[in-house]
Amino acid sequence: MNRTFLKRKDIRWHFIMVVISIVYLAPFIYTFTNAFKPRTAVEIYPPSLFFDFTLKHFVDALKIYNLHKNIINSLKIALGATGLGLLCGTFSAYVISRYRQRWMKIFIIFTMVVPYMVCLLPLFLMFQRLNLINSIPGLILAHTFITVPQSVWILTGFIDGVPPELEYSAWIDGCSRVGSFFRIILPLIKPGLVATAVLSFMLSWNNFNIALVLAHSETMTAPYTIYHFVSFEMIDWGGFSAIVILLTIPTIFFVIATQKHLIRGFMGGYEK
Amino acid sequence: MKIKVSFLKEKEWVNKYVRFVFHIPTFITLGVVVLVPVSVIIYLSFTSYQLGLTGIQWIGLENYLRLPYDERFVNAIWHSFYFVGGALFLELLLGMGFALLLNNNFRGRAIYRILLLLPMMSIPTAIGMAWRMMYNRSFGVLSHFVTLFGLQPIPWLSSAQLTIPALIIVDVWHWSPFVMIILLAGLHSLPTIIYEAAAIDGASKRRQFLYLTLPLMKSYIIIAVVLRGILAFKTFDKVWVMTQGGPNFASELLNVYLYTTAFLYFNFGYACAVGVIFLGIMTTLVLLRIRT
Repeated sequence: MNRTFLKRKDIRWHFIMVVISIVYLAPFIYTFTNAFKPRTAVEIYPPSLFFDFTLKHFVDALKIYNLHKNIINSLKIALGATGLGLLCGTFSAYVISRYRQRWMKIFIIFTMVVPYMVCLLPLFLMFQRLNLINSIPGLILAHTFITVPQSVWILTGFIDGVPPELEYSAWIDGCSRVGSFFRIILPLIKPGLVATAVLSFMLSWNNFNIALVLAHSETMTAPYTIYHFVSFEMIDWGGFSAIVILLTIPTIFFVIATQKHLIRGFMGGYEK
Repeated sequence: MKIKVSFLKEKEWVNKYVRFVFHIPTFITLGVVVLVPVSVIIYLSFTSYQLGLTGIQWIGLENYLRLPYDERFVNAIWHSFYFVGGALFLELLLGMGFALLLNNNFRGRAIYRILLLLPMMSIPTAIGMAWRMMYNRSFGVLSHFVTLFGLQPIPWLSSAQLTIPALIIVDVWHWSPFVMIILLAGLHSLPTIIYEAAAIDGASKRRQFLYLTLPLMKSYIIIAVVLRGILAFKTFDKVWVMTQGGPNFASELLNVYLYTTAFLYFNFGYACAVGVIFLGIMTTLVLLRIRT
């Protein structure tokens, strides 16, 4: 054990980083304090750190804006989309990686490049005809647009990292190709699967465009609740801040718990 | 986890044609969600479909011929490029700065990595609204801090010139951690020997950075630019929540114009033409990337 836990130069760095962090995260701090202020205290300048503490906005959020229902909707959709993404992703990533299918890679890239809105217009028409607007399965299907290409992309990188020799030896021992996929690749890919799942979940949870077009009263998602405040003349800043807290705190815990995986996910295809 | 796939393994043809069979789930989902919509939008762009009002009537290239004369459309393209360019540039600067800071070996720096990662993970709509609160004309912190110096409050989101810069700032705040992560990985991969050699030769820190670090980081910078650039063109929720297209369409990005034309003006056929052009621009950019 070292004699000093923190050297003097470490403390200097910590000081710099604390200042930078506080400045950078100031919007968070500002919004968080606003959630506890009564309406009159929110809409003044300069904002003060001392105020009348109130929980009214939180009560409003749950009562008036139906927050709990929307969160459950978002959860269902995100889980469904992540599951589908993993399903499609693992299979496709395997063959793309092992057979070096460049054409499929280009197709996946194309899918990732297409802007959501461009696809949402026709999807709106299609869903209308099929009566899928305002339905959870419909939204899950729409969200796969986000999760599937991402999953394929990241998992291809991970499967590339598994040496094919392992499969060769399994084949010699009589295992089939499909068998080696399930028995060898999948277990070895577990960190990749976790990273993909975490990233897909996050992308689906945060998405707003799709809900804006394809969802209605019963299937509103969490981000849409926030947008809800925009529709009215008088914007309820306090209520909005409360909702942001309620939605962001799980995200914070989520991030802290899975940050290693998230980073791995973002760096996905470029792992050595 | 026990998966009942023994039936799959026994079938001869599955093993022979794995390379196609394994793509079936993906093609089903992406087929429905991407291929069909893209075909539909290309078809509809040649029609005069008004959502729910008229039927589908083929009018050929008329929509496309109208596009270059549509001021809002041309402005939307310019706004999109302005937004993405500005955001990318600043994100690179800030991301590189953060990455350099976090690259120094000091104990407990992991906390700051998590802290700085938080903006990226938050819900974009929430970020949009929070910044809208700060930009607010009557009580926003960012508008009024100049009153300390005796100036008038800055009308961020109500002035045509300032609104896209305001959006850029929000996007930079949101996504700089993304660039930081990529560049940090790049910095970690750099060998330290060359810096020692340069120090012996008397190179200053600035010199070391400009002539050693930057060239070696080139591939990572390109990756960050490409990934972030493609994502940036897709920005919709932040912009929509903050300005809905801006004071007098001043902050209307292509995405926003597409949505407005289709769902607020119900001009579906025309919107599809806009969409096709948008898609064409994105595809061209990506093809350029694949070339380099």
